[in-house]
Amino acid sequence: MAIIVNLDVMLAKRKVKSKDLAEAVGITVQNISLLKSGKVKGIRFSTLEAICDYLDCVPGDILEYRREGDQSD
Amino acid sequence: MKSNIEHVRHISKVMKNISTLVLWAVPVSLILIWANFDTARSFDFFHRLPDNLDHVGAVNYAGGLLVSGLVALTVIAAVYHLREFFALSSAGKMFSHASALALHKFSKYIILYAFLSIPAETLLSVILTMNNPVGERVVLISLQTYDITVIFLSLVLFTVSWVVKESAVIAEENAHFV
Repeated sequence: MAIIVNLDVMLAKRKVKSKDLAEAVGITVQNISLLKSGKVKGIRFSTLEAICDYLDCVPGDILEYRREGDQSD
Repeated sequence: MKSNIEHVRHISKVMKNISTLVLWAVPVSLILIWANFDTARSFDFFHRLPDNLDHVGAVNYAGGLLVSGLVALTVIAAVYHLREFFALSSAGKMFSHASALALHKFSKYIILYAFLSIPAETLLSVILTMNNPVGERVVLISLQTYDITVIFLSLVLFTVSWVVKESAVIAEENAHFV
């Protein structure tokens, strides 16, 4: 998929556990896990806002657009 | 005290069993009706057909069975999908895509039945009076309030089930949003 979710990277950078983020954002740990693995079709602005607020980051830190066939990383 | 969901599941289970019964009853009653044509006529089963059916032979019966069998097939297909819908509802999958699809397929076969039953009666009148003397053969073209009501209700059901189907798709897509 062209949109890459870097939530796990941000969680590691901020040394935050998925469970704590789930509690702070108000969604389940399972949904955080699905989000981390990119197995979701979309993310609500309210969820993104809450994640950015808790992790003190911007949406671009969590979501990345990678062109099809781009082999960076 | 039972919740509404539990009531719906219970009624769906009952309706599923009734649908299963209807699935078997339709072909059995069709065969019984054609095997006992005169008795069935006395019970007003063929009330729209002409009265002068005195020259009906085995070929006519076979033809009649074939035509009404085709119409009955649409009913069986409709009830099959209705049963599937109730099975899913009784299992608690009320707003799933599969359940909406089953309802939509049911409505499609009801529309098919509504439109097929009109020419089927015309065909039946021809088949059953083809052995009559010249001048007593009948081509019955009939469109009664009942037919129009069935067509209208089937179209309403089709549209509603379509809306439900598309809503289920949206609901399932929304479930993949966090």
